[in-house]
Amino acid sequence: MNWFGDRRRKLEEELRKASSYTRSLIEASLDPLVTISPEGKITDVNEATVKVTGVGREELIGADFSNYFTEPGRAREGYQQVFQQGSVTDYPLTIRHSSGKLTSVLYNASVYKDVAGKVLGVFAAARDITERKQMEEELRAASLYTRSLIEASLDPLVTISPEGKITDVNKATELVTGFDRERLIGSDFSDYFTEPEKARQGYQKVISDGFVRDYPLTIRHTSGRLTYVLYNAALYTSESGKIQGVFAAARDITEQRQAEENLRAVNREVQEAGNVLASSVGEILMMTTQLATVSTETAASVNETISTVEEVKQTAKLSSQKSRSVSETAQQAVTVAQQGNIAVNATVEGINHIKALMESVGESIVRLSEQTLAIGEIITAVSDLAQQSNLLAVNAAIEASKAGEHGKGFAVVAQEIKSLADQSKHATEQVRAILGDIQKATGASVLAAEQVSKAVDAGVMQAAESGESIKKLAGNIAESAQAALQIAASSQQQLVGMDQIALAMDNIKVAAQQNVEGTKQAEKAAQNLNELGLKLKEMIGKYKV
Amino acid sequence: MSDKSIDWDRIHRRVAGTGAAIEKGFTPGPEEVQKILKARAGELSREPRREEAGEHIELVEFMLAKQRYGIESRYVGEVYPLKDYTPLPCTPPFVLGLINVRGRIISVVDIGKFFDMPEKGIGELSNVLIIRDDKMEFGILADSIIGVRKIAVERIQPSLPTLGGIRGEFLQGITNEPLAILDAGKLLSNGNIIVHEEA
Repeated sequence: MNWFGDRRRKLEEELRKASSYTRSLIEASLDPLVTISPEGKITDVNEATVKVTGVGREELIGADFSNYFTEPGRAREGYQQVFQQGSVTDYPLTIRHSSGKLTSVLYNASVYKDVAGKVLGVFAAARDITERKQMEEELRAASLYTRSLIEASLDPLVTISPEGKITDVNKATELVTGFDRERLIGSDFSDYFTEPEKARQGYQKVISDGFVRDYPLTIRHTSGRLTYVLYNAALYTSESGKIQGVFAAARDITEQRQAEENLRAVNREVQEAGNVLASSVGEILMMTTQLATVSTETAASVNETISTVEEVKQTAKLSSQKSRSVSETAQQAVTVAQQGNIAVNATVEGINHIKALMESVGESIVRLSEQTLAIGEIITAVSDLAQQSNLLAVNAAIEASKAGEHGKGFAVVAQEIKSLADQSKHATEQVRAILGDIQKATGASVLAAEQVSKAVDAGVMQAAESGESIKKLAGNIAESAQAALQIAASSQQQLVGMDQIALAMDNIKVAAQQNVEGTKQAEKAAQNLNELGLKLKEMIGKYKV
Repeated sequence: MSDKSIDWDRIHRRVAGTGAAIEKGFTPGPEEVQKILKARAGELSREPRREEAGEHIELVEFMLAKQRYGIESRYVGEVYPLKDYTPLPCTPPFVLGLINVRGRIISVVDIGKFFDMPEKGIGELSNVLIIRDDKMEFGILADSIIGVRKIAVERIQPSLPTLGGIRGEFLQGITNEPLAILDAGKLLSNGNIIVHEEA
């Protein structure tokens, strides 16, 4: 405007001084210059106007000013405003070129008067602002780009007024709080944290110090979910240095925290492992110590074993001798058993002879019994005879009694006969009783003979068994003799074996001594390992998360 | 068994002794002969029993069903062993049957059954007393014949009044031994004992 005012004054002066010179200057101006009559008709143009409209000077002069704009009404209002107010500044209009190309311009116009002060017309100078507009567009685009960058940021970003109110937020902030932008803007920044006081102290620190770095806070989501963040914030001021507010960026460290937790756990495990290692090494150390002791004992035992082997050797020698003598004794026993077998055979023969004799004895007894039967029959006949004699005597007596006195002597004889008959009868009864006894005795004898026969049979069987037993015994003794010989042979082999064992034991002795050495080395190694374990433990102790 | 070994020598001696005794045929030794002679002498030296004074009868004594009976010897023909008999059909039970005595056929009566005495059956030593008179002859069954003896009439007591009926009727009397004396005369004349075939 100043520029435009000076220009005008200069023009007026120049116009006053040299119209042609001014004219050339007008023509030389890059800004389209135009004069408009109060009726709105173009009265003059410069070359720049011809260029910007694409219309010839002759055609332009006398034409309506408003015809060359995209908004003729606004153009008309513009110059009318100039007529009314005397001037306008930066009145935006868009010139349409005859080819259709548009040129955005800002008009600065004022009335020009004659010396008398009469308004002659409007002098309007347009400033091509196409480039400027373009720059503005670019600026806006850049701003949008920045905005979208802010919006695209995964970190929740927020601007806070000096009073602690939220003035702007990005999408990430919406996500992390669960509130939308409208709800967030204008609310208290500190409301969205688990520790509002700490949040407040945070932004106050920014205001006092100008910034904060890695300020830890915890954002609470509407759902209750917590997000651990580190805030980095700085003041932003106006060009004049006035505090505008605080720009705060939060970095979600939940995962980082998790990772740290994991690391800590791993560390703990490593530490525990170190402990286990230390204790294991301790045990190994103890065991190697024990092993060393045991090895020493083993060496001692080996020595004892060597002496025992020597003793066993002596015993084997003795048993070899003994078994040889057992073998000889067994041979003798075999001979005795053979004699015994012969004796048993003789016994069996003898018993069989007894059996035959016993059978003949039984036979004799039976025959005797049969003969007593014959005697019985005879006795029965005798008894019968006695009976008949008795009756005859009775009849004789009867006859005698019938004879009366003459028969008296006869009666005596008859009586005598009767007495004899009675005695005979009595004798036969006695014989019968004796025969009964004989019968009983023979029965008993037959029974006894039978038992003897059976006993003899049993004796034969037993003798046969004895013979068998003696045979078996002889066999066993022969086997024993064989076994004793084998024992003698084995004892010999045992002796050889014992010598080998003695040799082996010497080797073992050497090995045991080496074992003792080796164990000592192992003990030393375990001690080294133990020290290593302690060092490891120490190192782990130093490394704290 | 070994401690009870048999004394074979003793056995041999005993057997030899027995054999010798058999050889001798049971001839009594001198001691035994003396013993027998002594006994006989004793017996002979005994005074013969005095014949009882007064009247006496002679009886044949016999046993029947453990009871001692006597029958006057004048009625007894003979005694005879009952060897085998032939049972007679259609006769009273007291008739045992018929026997053949040297060609004579004689009927045998079981007076035990006739007197209704307890039965004893026929023993092995059963005998028959044949009684007879001039009219009649039959056999009486007896278990055993004791013998002939004389008995004083005064010793005979009349039949016991308790023995009534048929038994009382045929009893001649009893003695204190006791001995039942059968009245053979009555038995022989009694009609009951005769079997009337036509009746």
